[in-house]
Amino acid sequence: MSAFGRVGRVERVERAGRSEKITLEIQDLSITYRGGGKEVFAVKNCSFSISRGDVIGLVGESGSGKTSVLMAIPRLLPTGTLVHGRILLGGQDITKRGERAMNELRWSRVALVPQGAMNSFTPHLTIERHITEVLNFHMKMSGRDGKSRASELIGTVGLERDILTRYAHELSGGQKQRAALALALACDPDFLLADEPTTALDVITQKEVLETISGLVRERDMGLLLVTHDLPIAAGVCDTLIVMKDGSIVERGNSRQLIMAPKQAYTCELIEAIREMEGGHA
Amino acid sequence: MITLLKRLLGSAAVLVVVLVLNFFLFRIMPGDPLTGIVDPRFSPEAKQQLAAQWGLDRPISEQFVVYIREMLSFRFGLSMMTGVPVWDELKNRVPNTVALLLPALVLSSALGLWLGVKAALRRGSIIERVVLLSGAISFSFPSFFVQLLLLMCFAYLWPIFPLRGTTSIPPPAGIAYLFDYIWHMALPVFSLVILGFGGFALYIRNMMVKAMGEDYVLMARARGLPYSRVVWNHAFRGILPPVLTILLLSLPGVVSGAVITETVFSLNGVGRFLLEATNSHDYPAAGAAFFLLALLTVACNLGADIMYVLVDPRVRRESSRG
Repeated sequence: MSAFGRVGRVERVERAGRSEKITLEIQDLSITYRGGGKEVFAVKNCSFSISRGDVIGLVGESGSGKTSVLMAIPRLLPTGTLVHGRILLGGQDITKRGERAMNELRWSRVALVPQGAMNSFTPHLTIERHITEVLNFHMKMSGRDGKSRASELIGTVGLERDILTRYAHELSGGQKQRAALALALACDPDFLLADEPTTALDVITQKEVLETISGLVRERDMGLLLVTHDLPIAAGVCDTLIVMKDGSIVERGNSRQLIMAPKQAYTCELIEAIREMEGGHA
Repeated sequence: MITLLKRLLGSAAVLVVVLVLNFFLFRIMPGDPLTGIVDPRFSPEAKQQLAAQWGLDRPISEQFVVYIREMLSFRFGLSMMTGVPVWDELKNRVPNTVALLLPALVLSSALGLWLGVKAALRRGSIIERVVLLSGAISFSFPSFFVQLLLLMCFAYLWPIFPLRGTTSIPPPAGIAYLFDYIWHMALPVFSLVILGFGGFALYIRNMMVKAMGEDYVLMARARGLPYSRVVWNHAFRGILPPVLTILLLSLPGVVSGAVITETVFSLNGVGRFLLEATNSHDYPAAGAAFFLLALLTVACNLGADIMYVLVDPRVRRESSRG
């Protein structure tokens, strides 16, 4: 096991017995995509932090750089992408970690609920196999223990046990999103990164999935970073909102205050646009 | 089970059509086994006698019944070229064809698979360029050209391999025979490997590039799984059904291609036998060779269907339901 891996495991043991808040800090993060001889700035000097128990929403229009920030945390940006700045997990800069050491953090400390869970499951593996695979790799849990834990997790997110034996294409959108949540919770991570988790779901299922996510996050005292372009959804779930535009953070603050009294013109525009849409629908 | 039965019935129907066409096509073709005999000592009476011996003087319906009986019993009748039972002729040649094609197929598939996956994982690397180039060569150069080039280089200009045949004349005894045989087969096998691996590698590379870009592969990485597991258990496992299908479906083509390789390298195999039988209108021999080739094609198609079900659990589940 690598030095970072040992540190990771020791931290896990220590944090289990301590009430101190583990923090994920993003410091001066800049992301530039390269391709076809061009460089495109996606994120510029972005800084914020999230602790266990925090529920933060990262909002903004499409292309504002919020998903890039989210994917930079577990270091899943495309090869060749230039990333500057620091990402500290429990005080350690994880941008300096090797791939193997990073794998020990992924999912066990920081898990992901992807945008549109439709394509996030490997098509030839059952839901149970997905869950037992991560349990086996990260928690060294195999056989009956793994299956029993998978069954427990799937029940936690409000799904029937028979879902476990199914493949992703046999599930509805809402079932897939819940199964993705169960998978993300498998190793009891410190932080959950949710990227537009309710996209492509109907309004009722959206509400149910969001309630399940926020309920479980608060119950387990995890940190949730919710990326969405849907301001009302973020405001309904998150304590704090961070508004992004063209790769930069333009405003941040308490959800209620930010919605009621936005300070920046862009935030006002976003809120106004939503009000207009709602008015139009009404 | 019902799907499998349907496939079996379909395969049987294809074989019946091939059997019928196999009989009539040879008889419609210009010429017959007797016109091939140009020896002036052969009198018309002698030719008549030969026709009677081969059963060519009987009504076509009677010939058809005999042909079907011989084919279905796998006896195949007597070769008109040699007078030896066709089955015996094939038995002598099949080992040479298998010794040529089996290692060529295994080596080219293994090399193609390895290079294809490596090329997909290392975009822009030397390996990827080699795969793209070798794929282009596989598709652009005719096999006989490459084989003749190899013969010229490695059997004539730099004679490290023999020019022709499966063994030296006279063949050595004991273990030396085995080495002599391998020495003779090495260049033909090598030629098939360099002609075969490129296309397969290119196919695997393209499939893997697509698979590695799939969301589920990114998510497998996000779950912190080891890279080898992500590549083989998630990405490669996903492309395995079409890869196996391509491999199985290419088998009849490879066997047909043996005609050229065995002719260029003067190997005493089934491919060359098929060519000689067709040229000399040896109905039983050509019929048997084409029938066996059709049987192999049908078996490979059926094998691909079964393999698809075996390696893709989703198809397996759908099949068991339907």
